[in-house]
Amino acid sequence: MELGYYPGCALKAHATGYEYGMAIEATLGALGFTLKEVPDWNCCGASAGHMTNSTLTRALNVRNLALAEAAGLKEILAPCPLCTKELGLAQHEVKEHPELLAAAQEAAEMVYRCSVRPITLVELLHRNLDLLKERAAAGKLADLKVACYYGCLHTRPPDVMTYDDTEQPTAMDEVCRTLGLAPVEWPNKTECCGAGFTMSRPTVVARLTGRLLKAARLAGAEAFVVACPMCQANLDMRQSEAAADAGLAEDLHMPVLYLAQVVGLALGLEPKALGLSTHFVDTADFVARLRGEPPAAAEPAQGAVA
Amino acid sequence: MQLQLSRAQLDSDWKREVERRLGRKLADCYQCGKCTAGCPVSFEMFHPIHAMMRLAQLGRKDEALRSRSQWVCAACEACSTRCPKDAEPARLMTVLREMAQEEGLVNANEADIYDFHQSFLASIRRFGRVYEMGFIAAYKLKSPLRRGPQDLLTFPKMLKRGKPGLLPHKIQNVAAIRRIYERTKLQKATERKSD
Repeated sequence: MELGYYPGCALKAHATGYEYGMAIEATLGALGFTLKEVPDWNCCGASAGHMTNSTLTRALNVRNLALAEAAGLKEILAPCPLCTKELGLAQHEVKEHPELLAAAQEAAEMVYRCSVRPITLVELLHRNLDLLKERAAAGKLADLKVACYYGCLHTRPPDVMTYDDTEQPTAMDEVCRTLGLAPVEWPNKTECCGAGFTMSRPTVVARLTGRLLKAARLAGAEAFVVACPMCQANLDMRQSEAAADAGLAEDLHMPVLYLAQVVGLALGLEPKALGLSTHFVDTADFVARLRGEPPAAAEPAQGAVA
Repeated sequence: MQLQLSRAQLDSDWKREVERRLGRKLADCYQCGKCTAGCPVSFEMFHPIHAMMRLAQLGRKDEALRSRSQWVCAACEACSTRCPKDAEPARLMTVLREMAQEEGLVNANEADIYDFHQSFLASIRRFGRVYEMGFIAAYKLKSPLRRGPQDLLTFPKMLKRGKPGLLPHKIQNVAAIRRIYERTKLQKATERKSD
């Protein structure tokens, strides 16, 4: 199966979320997808574009969409929901407003016929539940409790991110349940993690991720499953600050796994090939239990915080 | 909020321009406060989101544009998603951010947030993609004493994990990106008047 692919900056070799890209490529490859990258794609503008100049952001994304269209791609997988949302917002706006399309085409020097649909990884996997069921049967994972965390942009704005319920999404939970895990019910699935404030306002990130940590633990979860590089970085890198801000007595060391990594494990891929050793909170013990192995205490913890 | 109403403010060109960009009537908002109730960052705002809506309704241009709130907004879209009147408070924040830049009224107290965005965008302009190491260095160098020490202890742990990589990814047609930037520059109010 051929699939259009817009990796986005965060997933590439030079970025903080590169293990997400590794895991996606390994996992989707094992599932039988051939990823066809949008030629010469540019950054979607991310928070910075959205927060300062919507005309610029729209033009940057129309360039991407037009490049995908010219390459014959109908759907493009954009695994970072910030990219999916910026691409999807541009698509939504230019489709509805011919004057915005004209301006963006002129700025980007491209013709765009509005035919490309950006999708998230969650949508892709959820549409292929049967395939997952079939392929993951052998490597079914242990029924450990996890909190599926969608963040702001998997379901918002609702007229752009249309795949799942806006307030109570379930697609990621269903994927995890199919693989054998036991996703918990918890109320903070679509709360914000602080996203792009990780450097410019870290106190906000600590407050917001602290709330997530507390709620996930109260619901009984042992780990987070996420599908966004900002959610992952904010929950993983700043977890002790988050725990302190939430008034938790101790650092919880809750692993923060990408959905692509979880699927990869269920397909029998090795943790290292999925980038699981690059996280800040050690994942080795949780991953071993997930795979039904004895705890990995004897092995040197690959991803232990230095 | 103390109310000082003036006819000139209540019916101003500025309000009409806000409504044009917003695609909504500001009077649609009936101040129920649901936006603020669900806003994850209202604890950081002197004027939470419903109050920003109110400032705009009252035509209080200067206070609205100089506010810190639009910069602390995380753009999570919860407010617009839940607004019972579809008044688009999140988009109002976008409008106010762009107008504040055009009028030169970006609140200097939020320089960290604003510089971060600018450094990020400069990186895209240069490479077509974000170069994390480069833009973070640029951001820190704009205010090295304050921003330099931040995350100093985390940084070696990141490098150990290969995060972020040392070299940028540059796209082939960077020239196209530069032209996009040129054509979509925000127009400063001062330049507009001299046209």
